[in-house]
Formats: sequence, C-alpha cells, structure tokens
Amino acid sequence: MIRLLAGILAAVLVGFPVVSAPTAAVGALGAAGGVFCAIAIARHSIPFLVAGASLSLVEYAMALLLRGGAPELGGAILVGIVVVLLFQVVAFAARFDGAAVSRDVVRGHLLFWLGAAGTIVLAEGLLVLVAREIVLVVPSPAYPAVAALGVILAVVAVAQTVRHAHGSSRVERVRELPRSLGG
Amino acid sequence: MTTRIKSQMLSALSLLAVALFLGLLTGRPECFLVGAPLLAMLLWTASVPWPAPVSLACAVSEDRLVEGGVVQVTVTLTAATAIPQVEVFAPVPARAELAAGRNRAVFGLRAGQPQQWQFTIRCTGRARFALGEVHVRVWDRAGLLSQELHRPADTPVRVYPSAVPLRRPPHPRQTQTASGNYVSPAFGEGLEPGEIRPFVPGDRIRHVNWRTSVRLGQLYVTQYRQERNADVVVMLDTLTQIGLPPNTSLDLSVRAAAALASAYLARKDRVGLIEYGGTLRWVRPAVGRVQYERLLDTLLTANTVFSYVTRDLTVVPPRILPPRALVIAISPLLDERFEKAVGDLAGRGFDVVLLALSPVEITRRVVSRTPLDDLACRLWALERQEQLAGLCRQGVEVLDWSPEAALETVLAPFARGRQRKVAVG
Repeated sequence: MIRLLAGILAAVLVGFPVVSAPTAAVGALGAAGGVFCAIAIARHSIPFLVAGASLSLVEYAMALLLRGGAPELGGAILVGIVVVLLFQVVAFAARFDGAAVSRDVVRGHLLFWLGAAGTIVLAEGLLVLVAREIVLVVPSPAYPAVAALGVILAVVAVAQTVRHAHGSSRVERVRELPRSLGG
Repeated sequence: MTTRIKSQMLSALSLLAVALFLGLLTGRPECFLVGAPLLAMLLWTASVPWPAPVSLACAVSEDRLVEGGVVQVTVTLTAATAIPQVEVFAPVPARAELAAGRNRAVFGLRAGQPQQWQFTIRCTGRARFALGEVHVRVWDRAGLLSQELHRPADTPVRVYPSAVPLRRPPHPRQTQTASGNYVSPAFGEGLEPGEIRPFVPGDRIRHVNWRTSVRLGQLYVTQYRQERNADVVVMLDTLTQIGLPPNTSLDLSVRAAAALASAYLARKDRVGLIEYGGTLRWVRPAVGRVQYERLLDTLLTANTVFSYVTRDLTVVPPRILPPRALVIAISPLLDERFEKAVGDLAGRGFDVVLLALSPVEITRRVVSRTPLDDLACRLWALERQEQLAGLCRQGVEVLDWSPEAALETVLAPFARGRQRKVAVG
C-alpha cells in the first residue's frame, strides 16, 4: 500500500517535467531520477530518495528552461507537494520498516498527509498572491533582497528546528543531573 | 528523555537546498515554490511542542523456565498528553526467539490512558539473561525529530536445561554409608533377604526363618542386606564444543547431566558436579531438591573456557570427589586432556562411566552432504571407535551416545547389565 502510494507520487514527480517539455535530455534525467526513486521505494532508502528527488528537481528545472515562457505556478505547487509527500511516505516506511504499525497510526498519517497537502496548496496560493503584490510594489532591483529574505527565512526555520530539539534535551539533562549524582 | 535530530531532517534540508540552488541558477520562481513546502515542513516541526514525557513499565510472565518455554513480555506506556506515534522496541536476547507478536511496534497514545503491548519469546537454549529492556522513541509527525527513552533490563530470567526423565541410570558399583535405594553387600537392617545362617544369641526372633528351622531341626535366621545410597559425580567436559546452538555438544552434555542428576537425586543419592575445562568448577555432592537447583544453576552457566593450561583432577578435594563414588563423565572426546583425565580417574580406582557423545553426528548436521565430507566423517567415526576402544582397555566403561538416540535408550541396556554384574559381585 505504502509502496503503491510512493510509486504513484514518484511517477508524477518524474513524469510531470517530461510532459511539460518532452525532450531527450529531460527524459534521460527523468529516467535516472525514476530509477533512484524506484530503488528508494523498494528498499525504503532515504539516501536513494534524496538522489532521485534531486535529479527530478534538476529535470524539472531543465524542463522549465527549455519550455520558457511565463511562470507556471500551479505545476510548481503540484511538484512541491509531490516532493514533500513522497519524502514523507518513504521516510515513514523506512522509519517503521519491520515494526507492527497500528491502524490508528497509519490512518492518522494519511489524514496528516492530506491535511498537509491542502495546507500547502492554500499557503502557496497565498504566497503567490503576496508575491504578485510584491512584484507590483517592489522595484525589480530589489528582487534579490526579497530572495535573500526567503533564504533567511529558511535558515531561521532550520535554526528554530534545531533549537527546538536541543532546547528540550538540555532541559531534560538538567532535570536528570541530580538523579545521576545521587546514584 | 533525549531529543535527537534524525537523518531525515538533513535529507529534507538537502532537498530544500537543491530547490533553492536551482531557483537561483535558473532564475525561475517555480523552483522556489517547489522548495516552499519543505520549508513549511521544517517550520511546522519547530513550532509543535513536545508532548509530556512517557512513563514506562515492563512485566515478564516467567522468570524461571526450561528450554523451549515461552515468556510473555508486557510493556505498558502512559502519557499525560496524547502522542500520535510512539515506537517501542524490546530487544530479544540471544538464545531466544519471537514466538508470537513483534518486538517492535508503533502505536498512538491517548492522554492518560495506559497502552499495553505484548509479545512472546521462546527460549531455545539454556541461558541466564535479563528481560525488560525497552527503547521508546516518540516521533514528531514529520519524522524529523524524535525523543528517546531507554529502560534498562531489570528482570533476570533463568532458562534451565531440559532434563528428560531417566528410569534406569547406571547402577553404582559401591555404596556409601547413608540409607538409600541400593542393596548393599553388607548385612544389617534392610528389606532384601541375603543369606541364612544358624541362630546365635542376640539375633532377633523376627529374623528367624521358621521354614528352614523346622526342616533342619534347629533355629536359623535370615540375614538382610542393607540399603544404602551412593555418591555420583557428573563430570562435564567444557574444554571444547562443536555444533550450532541450541544443540551444541555442550548443550547436549548439559541436558544429559541434568537428566542424570535428577534421576540419581530421586534415588536419594548424593550427586556432585565437576566442570572440567579451562577453569575447574565443582559442586559438592549432596542430596535433595536444593542440590538439584544448585546443580541446575551451575549447569546454566556451563560454557567452554578454552585454555592451554588445565589443572589436574588431583586438585579436586576428596569431599568433592569422594572415594567409592561413581563418576559419570560426559564428553564428545574432542580434547585429549579430558580423555587423559578420565583414564587417570579409572587408574585411581574410581568407578568411571564415560558417556561419549558422538561429535561426528553433530558435525554431519552442520556440514554439507558432499562425498568428501561424508568420507571425512566416516574416517573420523573409525578413528573415534579406536579412541573408545583405547579407553575401554584402560578400564573405563564407555557408552557411545549418538545425539539422534534418546539418552534412555543408551543407558537402559548398559544399566541392566551393570546391575546384574553388581548383584553377582
């Protein structure tokens, strides 16, 4: 079931750029990405998935360059959702490979993925609207600054996540200290 | 609980970096949009607070069992807040296997409600280990972070060797002074009639044999033989072993030792144990249920301790290896030092019975059935026959035991013949 779901997502990820710009180069990259994704799905391997998804993103970027024209934001949102869901599905399978997973957990995850996809669509739709407004307001020389802001946001997100993890562990360590001293 | 950043987070970051890099390289906004959900996932992970700590308990159904027995492990988890996914892993010790259920599970916890998870393990071989070790991992929804909790093993479990009941263990040649089940050559109080002799003053009237007295015209009394116990010392070869667990030569020897100890203790004999290996360990002969437990506890930890230096059996005190004791040596005879020790005991006048476990059959189970292996095994069997014949010449009574045969079938014919010889002697 999980493999089927991951296979469908991988097919969409690999196939969408080929449909957008059906050229030999895009097809070759798509085939390479597809092979890596297939190995990742079969072996529940995250490193292969990262390789396959990265190749697929390169394939998508190449398709965008070859196709040219106005930005197609709907397709980008679709690819973004597919990348996240594929990553989540394969990571879930890899995490709990060989374990007895209760139905509640699987059901909860499916609902979480559906909810996440819906939220991403809404959030990115909002982001596109905001971006269009920014394009009207901000002059073109300031675009790099906006891009830099996005990068800073990404760095902050990562830092927050790491702090979230380490902060709670430090609290636990302080709490456990007297117990370990007391023997 | 310890919080850990999982490798999945690095993978997500790598994908995000690729998307942003491609966006900068191509100048297409679509690539940034592709990376945005990954960024959202990271932000979401950072924003969700960790649930309250999980409390953990583990119960084990049995702490003393025999080989092949099953133990049910019950893990109970409770959390003050609901947790969507908790991964629990309880390692299965060596010499045990899963019989039912799985030792790794993922489930959700509801606030305040205890969640039980059970699995059953089968103990395949004798062992002493501790159960109750549990690893708990509380995952965030995205699987990027986890909190881990470890509960160390705290319930000791003992898996004793299975002892088949033996009806006819080898009869000891010599008896001791305490009362028991063997008919002694000495006359005294007992149930077994011995000889008839003329009455002398001091004899009890109840011992008068009236039938003989009437026939011969004077009083005759029946003399009774005393019923005495014996000292039995089981000597186990722990110098080397062969085969695959749980049926190595040492495992089979330990089971035989447990069966013999059980049979002799049931006959009120004093039973002791000597582990002859790299280290010499022993259990002083004694009687009763407590002694059986003591012997089983020692057999539980019997293991091969190889050393080039072996101590001579002369270091064993006489109270451990009493005079007139029946010594039952159990060995696959793979190390000639054990063979020499058995020969020395026979030379010192001990009543020695060697239960020679065939290593050839054990090896046949683990090697391929190629003609070359088959030929090697046949040659080995011939060499072994010569080895056993040599021991017989030294005065050791040898019982060739193939692992396929039940111990009772090996001992019964020998025990019958030996009992007859003892009675005649």
